[in-house]
Amino acid sequence: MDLVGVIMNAGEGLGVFRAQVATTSHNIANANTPGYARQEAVPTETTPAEEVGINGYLGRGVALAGVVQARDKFVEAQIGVAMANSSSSSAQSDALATVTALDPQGQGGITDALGKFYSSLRDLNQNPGDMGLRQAVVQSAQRVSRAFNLTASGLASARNGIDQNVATLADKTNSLLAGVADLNRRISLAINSGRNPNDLLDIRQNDLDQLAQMIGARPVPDSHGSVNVVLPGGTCLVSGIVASQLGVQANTLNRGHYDLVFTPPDGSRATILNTNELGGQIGGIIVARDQVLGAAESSLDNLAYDISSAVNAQHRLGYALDGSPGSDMFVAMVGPQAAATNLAVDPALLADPSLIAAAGSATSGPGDSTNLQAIIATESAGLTGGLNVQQGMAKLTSDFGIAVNMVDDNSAFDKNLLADLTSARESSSGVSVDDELIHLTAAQTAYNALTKVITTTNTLLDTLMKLI
Amino acid sequence: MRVTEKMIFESTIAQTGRSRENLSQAQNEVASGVRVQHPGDDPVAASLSIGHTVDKARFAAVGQSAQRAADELNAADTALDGITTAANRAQVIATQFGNDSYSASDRATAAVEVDGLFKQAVALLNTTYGGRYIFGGFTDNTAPFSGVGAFLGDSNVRAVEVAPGLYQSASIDANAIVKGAGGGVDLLQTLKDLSTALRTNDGPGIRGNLDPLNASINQLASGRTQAGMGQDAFLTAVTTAQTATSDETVKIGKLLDADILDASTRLASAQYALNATLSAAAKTLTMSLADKLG
Repeated sequence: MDLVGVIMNAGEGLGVFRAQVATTSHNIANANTPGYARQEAVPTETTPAEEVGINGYLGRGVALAGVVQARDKFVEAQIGVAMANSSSSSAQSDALATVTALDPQGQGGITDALGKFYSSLRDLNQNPGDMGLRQAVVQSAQRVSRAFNLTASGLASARNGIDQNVATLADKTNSLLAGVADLNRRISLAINSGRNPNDLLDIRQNDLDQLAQMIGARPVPDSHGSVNVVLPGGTCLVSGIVASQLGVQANTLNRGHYDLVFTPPDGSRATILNTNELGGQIGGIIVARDQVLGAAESSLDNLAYDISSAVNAQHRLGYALDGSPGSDMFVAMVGPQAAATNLAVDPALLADPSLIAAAGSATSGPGDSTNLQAIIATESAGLTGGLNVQQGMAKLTSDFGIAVNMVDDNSAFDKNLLADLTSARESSSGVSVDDELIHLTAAQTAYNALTKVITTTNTLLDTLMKLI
Repeated sequence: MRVTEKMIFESTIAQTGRSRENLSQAQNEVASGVRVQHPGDDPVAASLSIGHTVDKARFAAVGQSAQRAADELNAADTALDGITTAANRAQVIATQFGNDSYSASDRATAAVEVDGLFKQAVALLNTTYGGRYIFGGFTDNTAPFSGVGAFLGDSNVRAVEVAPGLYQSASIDANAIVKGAGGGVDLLQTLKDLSTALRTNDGPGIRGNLDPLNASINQLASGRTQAGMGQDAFLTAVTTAQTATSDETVKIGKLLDADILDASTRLASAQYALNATLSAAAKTLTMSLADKLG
């Protein structure tokens, strides 16, 4: 090898170390960028070596083999599911933690109101002809109605709030789906032209992470560098470079709450996605909305319907102060549907408390409270399902509490699992500034040494030239 | 394991967050004194507290009703006591003026006193409590006894709970006790008969009222016994209900209230943990090779 060759080899080496410094700089700059996987400028020995003498070989320096990303495919395969699960359970937990309608010690709550209602009936039993006590019964019945109305409103408001989140998340998801489809196109183009689009892969990975968190979608790579995006139920949201659309649609069978609707790229066959097809935040909040809060809403309606029906049935058997037959104490309802929302004291009774049918006979005097005592007995009577009022309310609270508790436990578990996997991914793919500084120092040292080689070789060339 | 700065940052954020959450929870418990604010905090306690809250309200209401019933029976007993006094006085008059040594004029004067006793008895029988005529049965909105001693009420006896679902008579059947319905003696008619006998100077007639008066006094004693027993039952119910209400309050407190000692200990522990986390973070986050290189 001649001296010029030596200088050229050194020049090649300088290029490699410059690339290493540039990669280190890129890594440090992106140390906190979500989804970024550290890169490495990989040097390789230049071949073939020059053969000299007998079995002697002179090396020809270094070349840049490429810039690769540090990724742990095993961890990355698990992290999407973990992100989806953690987002789902966290979203459920957050949605349910804010529901205060069923707090056990809430003032003006159903338990408090029911207690006051039956207390007022007991007071009236003491003096059933007293108009002040009758008025107190009407007011306490109104308090029961209002407590049911407010609790139902609290649950409905929580469910409506979730609807708004579903709509917002669907929009964000659409934006991410379109982004992944576009990145698939750009990555395929780069790969087909022989390039390694590391940064595009990072951006796409970050989008895929967000899709996993948002809707539980998982990536399915193809052989052309693209990833298809599918839901846990199998619905394909991104196929190569084409993205589908998600939207929301009010479901009249579910009190007008939003269903998530999938529309294929050609705009045809819009279909409603079932809860079991969804994951992530959207899946979590829909489960919280329809399963936990929906169940609480239904139980509340059943309780309101059962209590009002039981009281009404007994009240109708009695007689008012003027001896007229008893009517309904609460406005009669045809069924449990929206009973808690619609529960109200009968307007006639509201206007005239003398219509409270306390007496057991039309001809007995105003001191007759035999029917009132039977109404008081509805407090302990079994309603639908065999539970009395108090047990029904306790079960409703318990069911809701257990659901919240389980979701909280799941959320804590999922968070820990995700933290472990994120840590494992960060350990292999993350940027350590200390590491990068060492790489930088190593590249700088090598670079300085190579410049010394060039200087020395140049001196040799000068010496040689002086001989001419 | 390779540890990057980002891992340290995120771990610090997570640990600080956890420590602050624990601190906040303990602080809330100490400040509010409440452990279970949301059903999810302790579903079993939240559920059980519903039953105890309803029971507490129920016992409190039963206690209040029982107290009022006891007061009302006390008023009935006081009235019956006054009527008994009047009947006793009538008996004394009948015994005294049954003696034929008294003149018609003396007996006429005694008749005036008996008329007064009659009016006094009617007035006591029309006693009201809380705006109700307590001897009227279910017909308690009008005076049960007319000025001539006719009974205008009914024989129904009201009932009030001594325990949830368990009722006890809370009024006296004046028709039986005073008017002798069901085979007894009509006190008011006896007083009227005595007055007439005194006014007409009818010695045998006067003496003939002694037995009915005696029977009436026994009837009144029976009524007072009923009132007394009822009062006892209701006062016992009041005590029982008050005890039960207190018990339920304690049970609710045990289920939902914070154990201040435990919460304070956890608060101190959480403060210590947060302080340690922040100190560790402050030391770890400042360590970098960049500071060591020239």
